[in-house]
Amino acid sequence: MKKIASLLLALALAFSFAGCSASPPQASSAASGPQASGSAGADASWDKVKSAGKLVLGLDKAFPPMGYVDPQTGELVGFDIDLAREACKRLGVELKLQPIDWDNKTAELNNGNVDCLWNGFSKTPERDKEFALSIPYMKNRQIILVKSGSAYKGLGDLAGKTVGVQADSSAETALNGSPDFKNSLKSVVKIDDYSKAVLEIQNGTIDAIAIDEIVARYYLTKNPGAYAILKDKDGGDASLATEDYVVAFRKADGSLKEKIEGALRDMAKDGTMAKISQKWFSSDVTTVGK
Amino acid sequence: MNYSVLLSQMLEASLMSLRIFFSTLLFSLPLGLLVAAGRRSRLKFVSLPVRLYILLMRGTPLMLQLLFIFYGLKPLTGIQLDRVFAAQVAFFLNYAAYFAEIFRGGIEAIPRGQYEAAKVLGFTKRQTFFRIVLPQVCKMILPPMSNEFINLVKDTSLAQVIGVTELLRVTSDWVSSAVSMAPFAVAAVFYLAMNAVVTRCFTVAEKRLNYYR
Amino acid sequence: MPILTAHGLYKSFDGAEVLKGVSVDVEKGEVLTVIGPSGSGKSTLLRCVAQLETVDRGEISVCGETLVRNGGQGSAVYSDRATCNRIALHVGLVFQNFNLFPHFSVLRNITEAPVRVLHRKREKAEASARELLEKMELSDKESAYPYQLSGGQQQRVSIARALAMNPDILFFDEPTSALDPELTGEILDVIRGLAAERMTMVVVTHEMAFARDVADRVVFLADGAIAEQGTPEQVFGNTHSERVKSFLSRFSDS
Repeated sequence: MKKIASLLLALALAFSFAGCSASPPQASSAASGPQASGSAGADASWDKVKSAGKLVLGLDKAFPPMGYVDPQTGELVGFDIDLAREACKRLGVELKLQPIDWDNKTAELNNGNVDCLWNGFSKTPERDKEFALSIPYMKNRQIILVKSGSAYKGLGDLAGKTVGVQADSSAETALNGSPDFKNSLKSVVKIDDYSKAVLEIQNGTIDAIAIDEIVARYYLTKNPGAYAILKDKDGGDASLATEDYVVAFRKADGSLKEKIEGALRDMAKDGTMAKISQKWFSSDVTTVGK
Repeated sequence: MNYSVLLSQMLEASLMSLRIFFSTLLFSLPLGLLVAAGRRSRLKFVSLPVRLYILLMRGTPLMLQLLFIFYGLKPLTGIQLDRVFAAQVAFFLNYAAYFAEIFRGGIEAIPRGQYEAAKVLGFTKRQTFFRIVLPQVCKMILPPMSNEFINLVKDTSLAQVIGVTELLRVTSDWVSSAVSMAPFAVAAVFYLAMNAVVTRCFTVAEKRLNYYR
Repeated sequence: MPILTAHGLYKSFDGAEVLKGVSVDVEKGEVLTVIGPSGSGKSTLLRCVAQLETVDRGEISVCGETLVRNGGQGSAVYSDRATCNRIALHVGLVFQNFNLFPHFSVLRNITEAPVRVLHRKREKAEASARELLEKMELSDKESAYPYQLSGGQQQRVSIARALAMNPDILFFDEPTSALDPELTGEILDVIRGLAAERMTMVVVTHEMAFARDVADRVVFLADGAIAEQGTPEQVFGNTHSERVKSFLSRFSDS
């Protein structure tokens, strides 16, 4: 009996710490924290990534089509992932995808657990202060998704209704930036992720969601006929805000940012970027160099 | 949706959840015993910090503790723990506090007469504790312990807030991509299966310890 | 030489004085019964000698070794731990509530201390235990667990457990008080048997007839002090103390 117990104990121990290779106080692969200084090219961020041989990309892997789990292959795929992979190839480093909890993205980046945030990351004035943002590579609109067949026409029709928005997203920021609209609503619901939100639209517990346009289009293709984009009076898509998608780096990582930007520009120039865009969006929606 | 890929990813993620489960139990059970002893100590400089620790661990959300240990140590001390290790540490510290209170309850429920009989027969304090008191405590604390073990299985899902690839998060991401709730049903089955095993183990343990009342 | 000497024992609990200068000696082979009203300090006296409590003042020695003596300022000074532990092995105590170990079988209850404390070999300890069980007429119960036994049987196991340690003096703290009246007889018989074997014993009891029959000497304790002590004839038949008289008169067959 005692022998069995000690054997089980040993197994449990081995199992618990299998693959725990790095010693617990792990040295991070890039700069250790945000610093106010960092003139262009003067910091060692690119050198660190180069010597580590990999760029660690932080993403929310529930954000289709920018970064998500392919329901057929189970692999992590997405437009941003393809862009990043190509950029890394050109720079001679490996791409390492690190799924994170999007709520904690700032800490993950600043602590050095990831080197960049590249996941449909919208540029906002607050984020500009907090991070070093790359050149924009795509435009994004915050639109409103509603149940198909609903009678809403224009933002005004949503007065007194419940609108959902992903917590800590730029959609939320955009919503907060339109106080008249926001105050006209019955309530604003913060949601974990969009897949749950679209289900709520179906169930009727939420009347509309403020959502990134490309994510909305993904859900529309998945479930044609279930949802519709709220149109405004002119017949165009009602939009809370228009933004740029950028890649975020630590404030001090100027040299890393520049290297990535260089790769993006090259990709735009020789048409690779347009090709990737075609694959995902059936047209070239990128804005680098335009 | 490719169910076989989903299932294999969920299986792999369950292994992570189980890893956290086992490592927590392995270390927080002994620590819990130690903490229980400290809590009962007559030396104020021992019992007061211990009581503070128990209050902190039980009084703040485990999620908060996870976030602090993974994200909060770096700015404060420069130490950055590996994701999974940070989860293991947070769970270990948290559950040890709960176990400590369960142990303490059991120990204090042992009648004084047991200690007196042992003393009169000449047993040392250590012999009394390990041979007389602890075996009786173990039988007594099986029901509250089973609660904690089952909670632990479910709590492992909290590790997702620090980006650990555990079962519930993997499920959730699939749900996002596939826009279907079906994977949640599968996840429920996984958790039920794990907890069915835990429950069974406790039932067996209770039966075996029922040789006396 | 007396097996036990206790002089001038004082003990207070939370300011209430329970023992007020009690002195008693017990010779080898002697059976002492201690009687008196509740709260008179009888149990406390036993517990102090058995080291379950510490005295505030006084001297105790067992088998010639000093457990505690009066120090400079008149407060008790105990001997070092090793001596105290050694002395404890001379003393056995049978509790009112048996205090058997519920997770051990009857046999293990008896053998555990000899094996773990006296470092006897398990087979030898078990053989001795079986002899004791036979004496207690419980041979068929060696694999049973305490919860399966009657009160009387449990108390007999408890006595066997104490005897297994070969004490020089055996204390009984109201051994029949927790038993149904029908069962007290079996315990009293056991004690009578031990007395016949010249086992040195101190029995605190409410059983007056027994206290008178089995004792070589009777001690009457009231309000923390000895009100009367002597042979059973002296205490039960010839006492001058009003206190003792009124107490004993409550028992129809005095």
